[in-house]
Amino acid sequence: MTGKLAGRVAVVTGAGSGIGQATAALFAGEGAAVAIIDLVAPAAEQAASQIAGAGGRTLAVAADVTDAGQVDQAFQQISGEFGRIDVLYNNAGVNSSGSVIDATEEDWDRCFAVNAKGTFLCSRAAARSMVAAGGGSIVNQGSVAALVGIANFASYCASKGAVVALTRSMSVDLAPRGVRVNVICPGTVYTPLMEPMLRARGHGDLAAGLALTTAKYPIGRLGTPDEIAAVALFLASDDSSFLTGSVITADGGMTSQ
Amino acid sequence: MTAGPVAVVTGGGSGIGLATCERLAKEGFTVAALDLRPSGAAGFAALTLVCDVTDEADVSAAMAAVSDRLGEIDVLVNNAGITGSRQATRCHETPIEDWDKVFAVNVRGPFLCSRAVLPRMIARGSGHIITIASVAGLVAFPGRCAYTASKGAALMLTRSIAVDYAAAGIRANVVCPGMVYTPMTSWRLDQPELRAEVESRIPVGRVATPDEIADAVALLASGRLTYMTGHPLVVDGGMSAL
Repeated sequence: MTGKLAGRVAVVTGAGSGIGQATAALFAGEGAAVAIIDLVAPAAEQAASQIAGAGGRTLAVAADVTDAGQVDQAFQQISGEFGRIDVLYNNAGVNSSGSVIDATEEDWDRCFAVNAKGTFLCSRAAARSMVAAGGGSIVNQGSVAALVGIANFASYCASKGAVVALTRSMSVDLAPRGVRVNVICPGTVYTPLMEPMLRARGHGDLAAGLALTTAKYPIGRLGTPDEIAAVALFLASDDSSFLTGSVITADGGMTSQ
Repeated sequence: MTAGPVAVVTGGGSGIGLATCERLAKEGFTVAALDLRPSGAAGFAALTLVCDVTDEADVSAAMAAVSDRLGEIDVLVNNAGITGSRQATRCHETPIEDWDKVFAVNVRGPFLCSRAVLPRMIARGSGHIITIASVAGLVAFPGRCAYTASKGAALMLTRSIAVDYAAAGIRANVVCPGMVYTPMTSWRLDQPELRAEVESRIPVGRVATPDEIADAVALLASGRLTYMTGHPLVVDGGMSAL
């Protein structure tokens, strides 16, 4: 079988929708068997069945990435089904709303639980398999919000900053064991996760919120899930064999100005 | 119990459903958003519930929770829907699983949800059911076999409800959107060549925003159109008029 991930096994978290779903489909198209982890079972199953319908090998696992027990069980199930894990894309994430003054404590805790701890727990489970097998690639989901401040987004910015720092730490620990770890910092992509934030930015008018946000992007538009998936594929595959600890921005020029 | 008539919006976490939650809340409704991922509606809905509309137990539990916590359900918006696989497939190319999935969400979903709310509506002698179908329920979209068939079914289900419950004081109508820019369609509409091709077939020259569909839902939910039932309200920028 041809494809940049031919014969590999990839795990994508939060792949029931958005960037995760697009990436899972792309990985499958490049020859990988793809395990989809999502909090919402029907979403995971639907995404998996679309891949299977196109001829790919896939497994849907419902699990909460903030729960160590569920994560370990999910990864055991995936290893059991496919025999190995070569790639992990820690895509599962949640948004926040509120500046440091009005953000709630629940918002903060939730952001850190899913975005930072979820990445930690899944990476820990996957790395064990990867180290035992002699190699692998972990791709984390940062954000432009990890690199520049964004208004009314305090918890999200902080949690994504944690993901970038965790990526560097993981890369140092795992490089001698053949496992590369990199992070993508996407700009705004129009997905269900981002929609409420875009709408709020336009004070209830989605079109206005989209226009205001797009104005920050030199390229003149928001990103698409497929454009982020393409970066994830590069980092997952041997094309990035000398990259570890890298922070790859995919942001239409947003942080360059 | 809270003030304002109660509206349930399925698929209320994003896209047309999210815009509808926001619009109905602005119009004074107390809104419950049901979705696999409802949290996006948290700013507009009084209640968000995780609910898989293809699952009867989920639907019963969700509707009971809404009426317990918010009061009698006055309006049901059957908005949850999927388009099926991204590749265009004609009938003989359509995987059977794809057909089943599309029908489960787009047809069984509105059936189960309507079924759950109708008994109380009959008892009260009033209620509104609004199903978001599509112009694909009226004219076939090329290569969209399962989607087209499912939207026709959703439209006729709603007409069936309109006929059977009209004497009971319940109104059931359909909104048939044309092309709308939502997270579900953005993968296609964000590609300039594909977007241009779509827009070239639309007299107004652009796709709709979710708010433009929510406007139609709000009109039907308002109850002002007391003599309209079983009607497909087409909101498509002139696409099906060509």
